[in-house]
Amino acid sequence: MALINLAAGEINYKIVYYGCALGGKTTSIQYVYKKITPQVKGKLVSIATEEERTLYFDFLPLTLDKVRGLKTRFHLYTVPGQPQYNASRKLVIQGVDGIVFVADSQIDRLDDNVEAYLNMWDNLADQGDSPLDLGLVMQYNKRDLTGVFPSEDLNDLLNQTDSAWVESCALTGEGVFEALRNVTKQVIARTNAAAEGMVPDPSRA
Amino acid sequence: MGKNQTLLKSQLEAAVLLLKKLSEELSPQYIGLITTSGHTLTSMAATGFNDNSDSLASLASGSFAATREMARLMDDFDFTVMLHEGNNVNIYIVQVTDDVLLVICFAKKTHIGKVRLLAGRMTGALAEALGSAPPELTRQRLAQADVYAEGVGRVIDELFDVEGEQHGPY
Repeated sequence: MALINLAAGEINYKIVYYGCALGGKTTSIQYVYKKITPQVKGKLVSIATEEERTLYFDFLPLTLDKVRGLKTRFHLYTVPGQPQYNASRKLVIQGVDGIVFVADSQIDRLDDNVEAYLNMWDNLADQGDSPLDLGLVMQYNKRDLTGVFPSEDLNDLLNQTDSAWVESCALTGEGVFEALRNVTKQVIARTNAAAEGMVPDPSRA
Repeated sequence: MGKNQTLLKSQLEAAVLLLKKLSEELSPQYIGLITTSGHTLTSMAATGFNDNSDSLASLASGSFAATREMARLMDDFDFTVMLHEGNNVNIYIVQVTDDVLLVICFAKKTHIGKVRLLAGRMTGALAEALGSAPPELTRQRLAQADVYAEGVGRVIDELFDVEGEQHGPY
């Protein structure tokens, strides 16, 4: 759930890149760090093994200009994709507002994608959340490779929430910002809907 | 703060007063209130201290959560305090509410026992200051949310509109 800090004039959202190992989560967040306007980004922090595999998480804060007196902040995280790090994944998704599920499009990674997707549902359920209640974008990565599933087939198989989906190549950046744009707009719309459900806006009456 | 995760000005002002009082007594290099999700509520850093508050908040919350889970694996379910003793700086983290942590970074010359004692005394007052926001106030302040969402949507479009990015099928 978003943290609305009215005193500091900030709304904070947590976006998590989820998916199987070596699927492109860290590469996606690294691309965002490399290409986004310097004034917006904070420090990229990675807790990785010596082989540069994510051990705990990568973290990148983004701070947008003020709108209506409120500063919007997105904290981007990745989870470690390797199956043995499930305890870490559970910790990283605490308080999540939106998820970019990064799937590896290669045919031989199909089982890994399915396992990661089901694992996401399980871990969210354990903390009382559901993908249906969060912002969610499916990012079908490695579309530049040969031997990949057609995106439509991958989508039929994985996208059980009928969420938005994007094709990507995280190495070159294609699709990375599109996925991020989509999920950030979803989480803001959800906060908006929750707020409007609480009281009608007098200026619109 | 409770489930709504909304922090009002009055709540933060009360918490900041308490943090200032604690800061005067401990002269820490950094003192901050963060959420268990890794967001900073408020923080103060001494002059010259490298204040990477966003990174600090995400790492502190992650570290605290990981250590708490380790404790639970050993059937210790009352984990509320964490201490790192470094060569130059010590880091003390204590749970204030279910979703708020107090983080204090202090020099070796400051006695750890003093930090534990004063921070421990302060957590109750901080928890009270951060108590649930009155619902009617929260509702009033969020009434302009649709206007905000429209404005942020435009900012996001501009920010993520990368020239040359391809969006079509490969």
